Amino acid sequence: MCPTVSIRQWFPWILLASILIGSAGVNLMTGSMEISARQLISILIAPFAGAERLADYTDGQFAVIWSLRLPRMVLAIIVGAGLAMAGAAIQGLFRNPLADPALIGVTSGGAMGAILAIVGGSLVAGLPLWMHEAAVPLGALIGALLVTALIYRLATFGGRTSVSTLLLVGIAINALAGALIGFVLFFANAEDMRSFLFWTLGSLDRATWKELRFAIIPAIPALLVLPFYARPLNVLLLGDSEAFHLGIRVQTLTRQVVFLAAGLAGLTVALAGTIGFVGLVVPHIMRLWLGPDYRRLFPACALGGGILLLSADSLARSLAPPSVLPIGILTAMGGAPFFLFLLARRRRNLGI
Amino acid sequence: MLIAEDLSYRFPHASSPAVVDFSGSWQAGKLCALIGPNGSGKTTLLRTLSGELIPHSGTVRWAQQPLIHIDPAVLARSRAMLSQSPRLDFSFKVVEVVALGRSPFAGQPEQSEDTTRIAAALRAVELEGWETRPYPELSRGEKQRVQLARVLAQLPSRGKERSALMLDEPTNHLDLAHQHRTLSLARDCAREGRLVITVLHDLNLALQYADRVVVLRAGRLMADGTPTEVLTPQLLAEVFHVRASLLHLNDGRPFLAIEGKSP
Repeated sequence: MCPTVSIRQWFPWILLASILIGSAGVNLMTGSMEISARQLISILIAPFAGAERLADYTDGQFAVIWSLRLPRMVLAIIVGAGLAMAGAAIQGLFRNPLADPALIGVTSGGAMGAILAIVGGSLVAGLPLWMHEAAVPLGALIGALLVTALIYRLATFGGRTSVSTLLLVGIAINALAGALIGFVLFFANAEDMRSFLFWTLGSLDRATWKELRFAIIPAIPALLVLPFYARPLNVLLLGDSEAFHLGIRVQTLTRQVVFLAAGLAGLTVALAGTIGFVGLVVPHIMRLWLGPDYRRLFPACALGGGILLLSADSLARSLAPPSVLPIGILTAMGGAPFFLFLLARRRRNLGI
Repeated sequence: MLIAEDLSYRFPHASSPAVVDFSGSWQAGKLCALIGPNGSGKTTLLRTLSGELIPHSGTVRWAQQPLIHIDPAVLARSRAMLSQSPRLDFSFKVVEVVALGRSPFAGQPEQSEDTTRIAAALRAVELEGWETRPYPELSRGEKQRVQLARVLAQLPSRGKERSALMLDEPTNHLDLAHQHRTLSLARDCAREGRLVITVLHDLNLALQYADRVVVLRAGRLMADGTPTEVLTPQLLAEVFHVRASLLHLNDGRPFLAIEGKSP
C-alpha cells in the first residue's frame, strides 16, 4: 500500500488520539490549584521514576492530581465514551441518526431509580455510610435496566420487536416514569429534592478511585464488546428484512444491542447523572466526518465522547471558580443548538 | 432445489390469509416470474420462500433441508433477495452499500473475491465510477440499481447451481432500458445455473425473459407454466380484469397489448 493512503487512513485516529491526550492534560491542569504542564508530567511519572523523581512540585499538588483529578479524568472519558457509543448503537437500531438512549428508557428509568434511592435512603435512618453512597448509583443503574426491559418487553409481540413500536412504547413509559418521579418528589423533603436536582444536572463530582472500581469493571467490557457489533449494525441500517436476507438474526441482535446500550448508558447515568446530548452530538459529528460505517464509528465515538466530556468538564471547572458548574448544563447548552442545526440541515437535505 | 408444500401465511390481525395452501417447486437454472394483481400474495410468498416469514402451515425446503432449520448466516451465502424499496438514510457511499452484500462472506474463503465481485456488480448495473457518490443523494432509480448490485454481489461464485436469486419488483423506479437490463441480468443468473424467482408487474417482461410464470390471485395459485401457455387473454381477463390481445412482433415474438379494463 502506498504511504499516502496509509497516512490518510491513520490521520483521523492520530488526530483524535492527540486531541484526547491534549484535553486530558488540560483537564488535569484545570482547577483552583495551579499546576503547570511541566509539574503535571513530573507528578504523573513520579510513581514510576523511583529515586530520580523531579521534586519541582508540592505534596499538595501531587495529592490533588492523583486522588482528585485523575479519577475524575478517567470517569469523564468512560462516561463520554459510553454515552457516545450507546447513542451510536441506538441510532443504528432505530435507523435514525436522531435517536438517543433516552428513547428506550435509560434516562427516565435511571432518574426514577435515583429518586427512589434518594428518598428511600433518607427515610431509612442509621444505614452505614457506604450503603448511602452506593444507593443512588445502584438505584439508577437498576432503574435504567428495569425500565428498558419493560419497554423492550412491551414492544415485543410473537418473538419480534418492531423498532417503531419500541419508540412509541418508549414515549409512553418515559411519560409514566416522569409522572412517578413527580409523585415521589411531591412527598420528598427539600434536601432530597435538591440532591435529585443536582443529580439530574449531571456531575463528575463523585469520582474517587473507590467508585471508579465499580465503574470500570462493567464499563470496559461493554465498551470493548460493542465494536464487535459493528458489521451486523451496518447491515441492520438497510432494514430488518434486508438484514435477515444478509444472514443476521435480527431479533437476537436487537435484544443484545438494546441491553448493551442500556447497560452502558445506564452505567454512565449511575456514575454521573443525566448528561444530555453527548450520545447524539458525538456520533453525528463522527458520521459527518468519517461516514456511517460502524467499524470506524464506534472507536471514533469512544475517542470523541471522551474529548467532549473532558472539555466540558474543564470548562465547568473554570467558568465560575471555585464552584463547579454541573456538566449536564454545559453539554445541553452546547448540544441543544447543535441539535436544532442538525434538524434544519436534515430538513433541507431530505425534505422531512 | 426449492420446494414449497401447502404453504399458508396470515399476517397478524389480517382478516384473510395472504397465501393459502400454496405448493410448488423450483429448479436451478430457470427464471420464474411471479405475477398477480395487487394484494394477491406475491411478495408474501416470496418472503416465505426466502425464509424471512415463517409459514403458519406447510414447509419450505431448500436443498432438501427445511428452511427454518437453516442458519440465516449459512442461508445468506446461497440465497440473495432484493426487497421492495429498501430505505437507507445513512450517508453510505455507493460502494459501501454494495459491499454490505458481501457481509455474509466475512471470514469465508470467498471473502478474497469481495473487491472483484463488488466491481463486477457495479458494472452489471452500469454504475461504474459512482463508487464514492453518497447513496442518499441518488434518485429512486439509481438507488434501486445500487440495491440490485448489492444483491448481485451477495450471490456466491461457487456452487451456482445451489444458489437462488429472489427479486421483488426489481424494475420499480427504473427507466425502460434499465428494466430490460435488470431482467437480462436475472436471466444471465439463471443461465449460469442459479434459481431465479422474480415478482413482476410488466407481463411483457415476463413473456420475454421468464422460463416459467406462476400466477397468484387472493393468495392462491391460479396458473403455472411457460409464459405462452399461461399469459392468455382469458387468464388476464379472469385474474387481472383487463381486456388483452396477444400480438406478434415482426420477429415472431409474442406481445401482450392491454386494451383496457374488462367490462
